[in-house]
Parts: sequence; C-alpha cells; structure tokens
Amino acid sequence: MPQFPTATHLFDVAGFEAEAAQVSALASLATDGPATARELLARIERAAAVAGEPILPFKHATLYAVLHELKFAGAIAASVWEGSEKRVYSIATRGWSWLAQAQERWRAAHLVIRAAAAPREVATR
Amino acid sequence: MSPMISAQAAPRTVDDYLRQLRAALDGAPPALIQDALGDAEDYLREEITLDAYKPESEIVARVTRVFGRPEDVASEYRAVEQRFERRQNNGERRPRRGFFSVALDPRAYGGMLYGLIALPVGILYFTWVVAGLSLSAGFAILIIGVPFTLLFIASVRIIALMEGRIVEMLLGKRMPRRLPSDETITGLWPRIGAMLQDRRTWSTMFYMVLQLPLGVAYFAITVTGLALSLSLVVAPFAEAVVGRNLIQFGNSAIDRFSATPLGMGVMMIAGFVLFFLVLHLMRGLTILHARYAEATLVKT
Repeated sequence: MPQFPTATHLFDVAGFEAEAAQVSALASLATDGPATARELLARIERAAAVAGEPILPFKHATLYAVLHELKFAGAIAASVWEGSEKRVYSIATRGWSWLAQAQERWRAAHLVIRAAAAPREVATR
Repeated sequence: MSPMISAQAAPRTVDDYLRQLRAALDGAPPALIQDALGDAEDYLREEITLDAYKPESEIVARVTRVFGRPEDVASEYRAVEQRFERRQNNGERRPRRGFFSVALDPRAYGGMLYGLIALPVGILYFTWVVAGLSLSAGFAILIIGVPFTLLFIASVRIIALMEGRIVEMLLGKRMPRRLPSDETITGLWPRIGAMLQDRRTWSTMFYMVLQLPLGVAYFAITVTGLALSLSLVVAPFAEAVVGRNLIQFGNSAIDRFSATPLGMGVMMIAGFVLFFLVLHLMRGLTILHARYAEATLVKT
C-alpha cells in the first residue's frame, strides 16, 4: 500500500507544537509571574479563549514535556522543596532573552504568512 | 507508533492509562520514562481530586482528550527529547574516531571535572548517609524519630535528583528532571512504608556511600594524571630556565638522559601522550559511571 504524504509528513507538527508550548509558557511566566504547570495551562487557556482561540495548538502533555527542557536549559527555574505537582516555575534571565527572540521570530513569520496569503484572498473575491 | 499499541482500547482508569503510557515508552531512557509517568500521574490524580464526584472513567476520557492519548504523549516526550538532544550536540551524533580526537570530546573534560569534584562530594554524601542512618536509628524510640527519618529520606531523594543533574551536565547521561510521583499513597504510615520498600531509596543510599571510595579513586586518577603529564611537558622549559634537573626519576642514568636535549624531547612527548591517555581513561570512566548512576538513581 503506497504511503501518500500528509500534512504531518510535510510539516514538523511536533516541533511546532513544542515551540508553541515553550513560547506560551515563557510568555505567561514573564507576564503573570511564577506558576505551577497546571496554573500555567489554565492561564494560557484563559488567555487563548479571550483572544477567540479556545483550542490550544498543543496538548497539555507537550507543556509538561517542554517545561523539563526549559528548566534543564536554564530558561526557567523551579522550586525543589514542594512536591512535584506543586512545583512552582519562574522565568530565569536566559528565559527573558529567549522569549524576546522567539516572539520576534513568530511575529515576523506571522507577518510574512499573512502577507503571502493576502494577494490570493484578493484574487478569489 | 506500533500497531499493537494503537490497537489498544482507550484507557478507563488511571492505572490503565499509566500502563499504556509505560508500554508506549518502552525502549526510551529510564529517566525519560520516570519523568513522563510522573507528569501524567500527577496530572491524572489532580484531575480526579478536582472532580471527585465524577466516575474515574469519565475523567480519564477527558484527560486523554486534553493531555493526550498515551501513545501520543509517549511520542511527544520522545520528540521533545530528540530535538533537545540534537540541539545540544549541534547535529553531531557520531563520536569522532582516533587517539587524539578525544581532545574534542566534551565528555572527557566533563569526566575530568567530575573526577575533581567527586572527592568533596563523595565525603559529603558518605557523611550525610552515615549520620542520617545512625541518627534515624538512634531517634527511633523518641517522638522525633519518625519525622526525622522522613526528612532524611526526603533529603536523600533530593540529593539523588541533584546528583542526577551533575551526572547529566558533566557525564552527558539523561537523568530525571523531576522527583517520581508518589501521590497514590496516602497517609503517613503507608507513605513511610512505601519509602522504605522503594528499592530506589536504598540504591540511592548505596550510591552515596560508594561515592566516597569512588570519589577518592576518580580524584587520585585525575590529579595524578594531570600533574604527571603537565609536569613532564613543562619541566624541560623550567629546567632550561632554572638550569638544573627538576624531575628526579630515582635512576642516575635516566636522570642524566633526561637532562639532554633528546631526553627533554622524549619527556615532553611522553607527557603529551600521557595527557591524552588520561583523557581516554576519564572518558571511559565517565561512560561506566553514567551507566551505574542511571541504574542506581533512576526509578525503573
């Protein structure tokens, strides 16, 4: 049976979701301060709902997975003494610069995609 | 994703979910499995606590939707891990071959640094475990015995986590990023019982005690190897400046030969080669110690 390429073959969906989760987590920690993983998810979902996007572009598990990597990379800090489910994350100095870089990259990508799609929208009207 | 896993029925209980997740993570590094299972378990238990009046199957179905199906969660953790590993290694996965290429291997220098800190850290670990166990036994008949023992075991777990961070940073082995979840056990006495029955509690203490002799050995190998190789390389220059033999081999013929230009050249080459041998030795020890640390500090 031949395997035809699908969207998941063409795009790095997992990479997109992981980066979306990373940037969302860093942005939320930078804006609203330290939080547990559950609080972060609640905050991001609330903010997304307010912006008119009720479905997150990543699974909850993705956020948990990237939090470990962000912590290991020194972008965020986590309290050790509380139990694992009550661990509070906060943004570290390195996290601020990463967030600024990531926001700039995503803003630029968003502008380029919107600009590239615009002529087709005009033509189809 | 394997067909066997995808054909599995949707999980209906927390244990079911964790079992499927563990099966989906089969073959992954033990530390990654511990982290993923701990995260999922904490998430599931918290959901159940928040919606205690709802049936477990309903909550697990909702969690499966938002947190992810076990096979998706497993592949997500694997993918995040692989991407991170690739970035860390700058795309280079294959170690370089050749005797002198060890100089470009960060693990050799990480192992050397680990060898230097292993002695003070080993003394600290040994003292902590011996004092903690002795005091726990001594306080057992007093009212402070139980809380003291609990605090001691908790400290051992946190030290295991921190040692894991050191091992991962210097020796390059994936170690846990979080403490394992023990939310399933409620009540003080069952929790103490579980801590005492947990193989990892004892294996961690074993690791900490054994770090003293290992630390002495690593420290001695590193310091002796570095001092000997560097002194052999530097000594000819120093001897030329000072004008006398600085290194005595205890044999008059060798001492006379080492003072000649040819002898100095041989000493420098010997020191240079010895330095690379020490790097190879530390890299080998690094690989062995990392495996041993994974086997004793990670919950399987």
